[in-house]
Amino acid sequence: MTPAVEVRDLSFSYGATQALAGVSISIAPGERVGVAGANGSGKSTLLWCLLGLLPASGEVRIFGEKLGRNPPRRAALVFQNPEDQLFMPSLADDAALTLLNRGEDPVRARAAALEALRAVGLEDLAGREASQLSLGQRKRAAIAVALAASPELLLLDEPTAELDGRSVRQLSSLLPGLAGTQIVATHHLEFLRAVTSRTLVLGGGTILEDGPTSEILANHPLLERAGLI
Amino acid sequence: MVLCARRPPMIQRVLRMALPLALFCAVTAALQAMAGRIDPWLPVKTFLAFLLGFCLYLCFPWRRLPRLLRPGRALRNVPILFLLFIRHFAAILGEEAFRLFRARRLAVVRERGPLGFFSLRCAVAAVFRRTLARAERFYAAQWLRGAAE
Repeated sequence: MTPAVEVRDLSFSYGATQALAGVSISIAPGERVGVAGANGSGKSTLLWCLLGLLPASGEVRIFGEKLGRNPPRRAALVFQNPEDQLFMPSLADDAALTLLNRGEDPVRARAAALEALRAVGLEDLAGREASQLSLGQRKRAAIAVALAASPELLLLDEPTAELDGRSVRQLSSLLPGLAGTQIVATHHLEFLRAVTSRTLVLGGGTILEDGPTSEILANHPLLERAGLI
Repeated sequence: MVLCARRPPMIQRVLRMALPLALFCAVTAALQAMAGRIDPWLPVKTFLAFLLGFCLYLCFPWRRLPRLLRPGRALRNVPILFLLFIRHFAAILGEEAFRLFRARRLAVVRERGPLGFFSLRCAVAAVFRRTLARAERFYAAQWLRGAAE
C-alpha cells in the first residue's frame, strides 16, 4: 500500500540553526500520528516541510506523489493561530473558499462548507465572523476550513495551544471521529494519548523515538530527555 | 494613605492617541520638503485621507464581497480577495499596534524624552516585524488553500 506520507532524509536550517537533520518517516493511510517535542524541537518546521511550505532538502511524498510547485491537494494544515487561516466576513465563506479556489461550483462549495462546520459543531455560527468567536471555537473553525476540501491527510500544528480544559476535551473527542490520516504536532501529552496511536518524539531536529503512543508516554527518561516533562 | 492615579482629561487622551498620526504627517511633510515639493497642506490632506479611508472601511459592504467570487474567474476574484486580505491585515496591524503600545505604556516610566522616543521607535519596529511574520504565515495558509491556483 502507498504510504500517506513518506519522508527521506529531510533537512532544513534557519540560517545557522539546524531545525531538521535527516528526518525519515513513513506513515500509513488512516494512521493517527503525534509529533511530540519541546518548544523549538522542529515540530512546526516538520509540518511545514511536509507540505512544501519551506524549501527543505530530502524527499517528501504525499500519497506517493512528490511535492511540486502547487500545494498537495490531498492534504490540509490547521495552523497554530486560527487567524492565519480565517479572514472572510463569515465562517461559511471561509470554509467555502478552498473549494472556490479549486474551481468548485459556489452552491456545492457552500454546502460542503456547512457540512464541515456541522462536523465540528459550529453550524449555528456559520454566518459569524471568526473575530466574534472564542479561541476554542476559532480553532474548531480552522479545522472546518481544512475539512471542507475533504483532505485525506490532515496536519494540525499545536491544536491545543492556549486552549482551556473544556476546549481541549472538545477537540479530543472531535479528532478521532474524523476520517483520514492525521498528524498532530503538540507537547500536550494527555491530548496525544487521546487522539493518536503512534508518536514520534523530536529533539534537536532528529527523531529520538518512534513507537506506540502508550509506550512513548510511559517512557519517562525519554520524555525528560525530550523536554516534555 | 490611599494612592490613586489621576486620569488625564479626555482632550489630553485624544491628543495623545493622535500623536503617532501627527508624527507620521510631520515626517511625510519633511520628506516632501526635502524633495523640494513644499506643500504646507500636506499633513492636513494626509489626515483627511486617513479619515476618509477609515470611514470607507467602516461603511464598505464587506459581507457581500465573498458572494461575488466565481470559480475560475481570476480577474474577477483577485481584486475581491485583495480587498478582503487588506481588511484582514488592517485588523491585524491595529491589534498588534494596540497590544504593543499598551505594553510600552506599562513598561516605560516616562512616555516623553529620549527614552520614551526610543521605546516608541522600538514599538513601531516590533509592530512591523510581527505583522510581517504573521503575513508570512497567512500567505502560507492561503497558498495551501489554493489561492494561487
